[in-house]
Order: sequence, then C-alpha cells, then structure tokens
Amino acid sequence: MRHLPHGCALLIALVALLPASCQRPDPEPGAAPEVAVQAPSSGAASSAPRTDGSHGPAPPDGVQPGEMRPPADAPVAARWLAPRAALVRGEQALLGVRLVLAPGWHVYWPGQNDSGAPPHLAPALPEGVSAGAVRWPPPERHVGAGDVLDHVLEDAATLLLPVSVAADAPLGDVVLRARLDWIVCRDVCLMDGAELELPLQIVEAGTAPAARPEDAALLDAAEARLPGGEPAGLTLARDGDALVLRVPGANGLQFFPASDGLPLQDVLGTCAAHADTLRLQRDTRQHGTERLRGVLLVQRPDQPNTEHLVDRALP
Amino acid sequence: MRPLRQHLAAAGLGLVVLFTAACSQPSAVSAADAPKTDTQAEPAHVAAGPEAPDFTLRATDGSEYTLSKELAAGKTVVLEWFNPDCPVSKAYHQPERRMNATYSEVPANVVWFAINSGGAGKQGAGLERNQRAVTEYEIPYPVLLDESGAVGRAYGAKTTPHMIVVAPPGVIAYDGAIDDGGPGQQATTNYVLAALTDLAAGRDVATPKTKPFGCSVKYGD
Repeated sequence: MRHLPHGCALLIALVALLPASCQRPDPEPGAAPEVAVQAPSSGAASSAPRTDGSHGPAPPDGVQPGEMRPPADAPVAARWLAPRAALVRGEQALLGVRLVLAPGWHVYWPGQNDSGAPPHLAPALPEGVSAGAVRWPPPERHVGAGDVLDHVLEDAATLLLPVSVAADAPLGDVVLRARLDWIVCRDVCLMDGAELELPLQIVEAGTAPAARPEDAALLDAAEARLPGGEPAGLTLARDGDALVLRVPGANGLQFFPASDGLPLQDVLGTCAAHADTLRLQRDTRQHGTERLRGVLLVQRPDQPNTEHLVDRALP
Repeated sequence: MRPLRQHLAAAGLGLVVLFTAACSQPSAVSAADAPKTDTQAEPAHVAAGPEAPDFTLRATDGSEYTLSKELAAGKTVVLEWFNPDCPVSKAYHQPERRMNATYSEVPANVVWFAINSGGAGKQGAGLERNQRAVTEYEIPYPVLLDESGAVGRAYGAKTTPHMIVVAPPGVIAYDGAIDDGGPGQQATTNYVLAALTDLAAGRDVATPKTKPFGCSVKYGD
C-alpha cells in the first residue's frame, strides 16, 4: 500500500483537530458571572452521593484477600453480593454485583468514553422486590494509543443496586437473578456475559436475618467509595459554548462526564488540569441533556483526593 | 445544528484541495472541479458538518480509492472503521451479517468503505488478515488499509465500528455509532440509515453525532 508522507499525516492530524476545538483549558476565573453553590440534586446521574455528606479517604475497594482473579482468557468474574441471608419485608437493602478482573484488563464506566461500553446489568428480581438505579464507583481516566480516552474500572469493582422489598412480598426461598453483559479490554477486547444467581429468602418484617460478613464488608467498602456531594465553593459559569467550572483551593481537577449528561467535546484536553478551574466545551452537534453530570475528582495541596457527584442545570 | 453556508462549503473544498496538494495526490480532484453529469442534479440542500479530510487508501484487492473522487462523482460515502478481530466489529459482521444488511439498504448513490487503521502487528491489522476477513465475513464493499493510522486520526476514529457519513461536497454529515445497540441491548435505531435517509430527502441530518460503541482502534504506537 502507498503510505502517506509523514508531513502529510501531520497536516491531516492538525486539520482534524480544528473542528474538534481542541484548545487546552485557558483558566480565567471570574471572567464570567458565577453562580452560587447548589445542593446536589438527587441521584439522577450514574452514581449517587453518599448520604452522610462526608467524604474522607475511601477504604480500599480493590481485589480483596481471598478473591480469586479470573484467567486472561475469561477476564471477568461476576457475582451477586448480599449483606444478609434474607431480604426483609417492607425494608430496603443495598445489594451489589461484584466484578473481579484479570490483571491489566478494564471494563467501562458509564461516561463519555471514546470506546467501549459499560457493563449492562438486567436484574430479574423476585416478586415484590424492586430495584433502583445502579450506583457506580468512580472511574479512572485511561488514555490508549491514538489519544483514545476512556473512563474505566480496573482490578475489581462493585456495582451497587438498591432494592425495596414490598410489605406483602411472598415469603420463602427466592433466587436473585440478573443478566450481565460486558465488553472487557486490555490491548484487545472481549465481549461476554453471565447469568448471575443468588439464592436468598424473604422473611417477615421484624426478623433479623443472619449476616453474610464477607459480602457485607465488600458492600460497605463500595458504599464508602461512592462519590460525595458537590465540593464546597464549586461554581459553574457559562462563557459562550464553554463552561467554566471552578473549585477554590484545588490544585488539580478531573471531571469524568457521565454518558447521560451534557455532551462535551475534547474530554481528553479539557476535563483535567493542574489548576482550580476547568474550561469545558459543550458539543453542540450531539444531542443530550442540558445538565452537566459526572464525577469530579478534586486534588488539594497536602490532602487526599476526593470525588464528588456533579449534577447541575446549565447556568 | 448550524446550516453550512455556501462560502463555508467552498472554504472546505479549499482545504480538501490543499490537502490533496500537500499529500502529493495529483490524481485527486475536488468536487468543485468535477464535470457535472446529468446524474448529478444541482443540490437544493447542502449537507452540513465539519470538513471531511481527503484520503487515498489501498484496498485488500489492491485497488486504490480516493475520497474526493467519489464525492466529485456525486457519491455519499460511508466510512466504517473495522477490525476483523474486535468482537464488536465481529458481532456486526457475523453471524447475522447486520453490517451487510445495512449496506444492502443504502441508496444507490452511496459508496461504502471499511477502513482498518490498526498499526502493524496489532490485533486484526495487516493485508493477509483483512483479505481473509473479506472472504470470511462476505464483505461486499472495499476494505481499505490505513496502517499508519493517518486517516483514522484525521477523522478522530476511536472505535471499531465507528461510522462516518461524508456527503458532497465533502462534509461529515454523520459521526458516531451504527445504531443504538450495546452489550445486552438490542438496537432499535440505525443512525447511519437514518442519516442517509435525511440526506436523500434533502434535509439536515436529525442526529448528526452519537457516541460509537466498540473496541478502541488499535493504532500503532
């Protein structure tokens, strides 16, 4: 085949960058009127804030001692987690789906990724048990060859599934079922899926079922890993098609835009900076909601990083 | 979406010509220079979108294809980023041959190219593997090799599949997924056919951009 001269390839690459508005962020705090901090809105994005309002250093949610890592030719192992041996009529419970990955492999967080797709969980729960939205752990940015930016989960991750048990749910032995489909990648990708099953019971209100301590510990760790509410002092201002997001006192920010939020351009170039400000570019060609949604990682001098849910109407 | 004005389109063509010159492709012509034929009615509606970078690539059968030549002939060009060993590409090529089914439904003035931008030695790259894939998947359109990744990078192709529809005079009218399917989710809307239908009807493409879903393009390092 005929190879393009190198100069040509460079020119093509440069021109391709033009329509994508790939400017690096140009922090200008205070350049536009800023809006006051709002309370975090309730769990519309892909993960929900912790309810206690605090967000200290997160306990580890990686592969735990005793957890078997799957082999590279079948790099995902998935199972249900349940905190107790039974669901109780009229109560809520936080269940989980635990993913353990072979070393070097990743699955995708439901963000504005250049490739991949998040694991798709389709629960089939017993009569009288209803599920809420899945809560996801915060992701990491992963940049592959060709500047392919993805938000990924590596090693191990717990997807949290809040459930409500009706007061008249049929009592007795039940089976939690779910279909989980995923694409998992390293240098290559594999698509696969699994049927997950966990036998449990549904018991009368007022009963205290036996704990399942290993699952309960993983669920607690996963809940502690969830992003907190908005960071103190966060402001969001509009400047043309740009959105200026600022967290006073931060010396580093990374925004992981959610797939169901405002579509952004050049997430690689604009959503991370060693600064207290990000200048986000909306993608006007792509249809989407008018809310900025995602997870914001905040770095502060001499403090551990914190992660926060952002879900705001545009100013 | 902003309607693209005529002078902007002309500026886009200028870029394509500039490209062509820089890339030493004397055979390539811009749409503006092309002789009008009677199959090429004056368009009542000019497709809108970012300028499409021109390219010349060789297919697995040795033929050479140039984007601007197809556009000059009044063709709308569908680009499908392809990797025969990516399971998502595979899922669209076998067992139901959904990509071929989509191809069979496109209007007559549409040319379709698969492009493999995988670097040498990467999964699914190389002439021999892709020649075999054409047979294995019964691909009815050319599979072009872009081993340097220059064309893939120029278009910002990130996944296989990643679909781009280039409409005359040379604009990216659609950029994204082939449809709204995903892991465990059946597709309900074929975005490429919808875009081609809009273009054929002389309308703005209602959904000009979506997020594609697939494996990352295995660019060379």
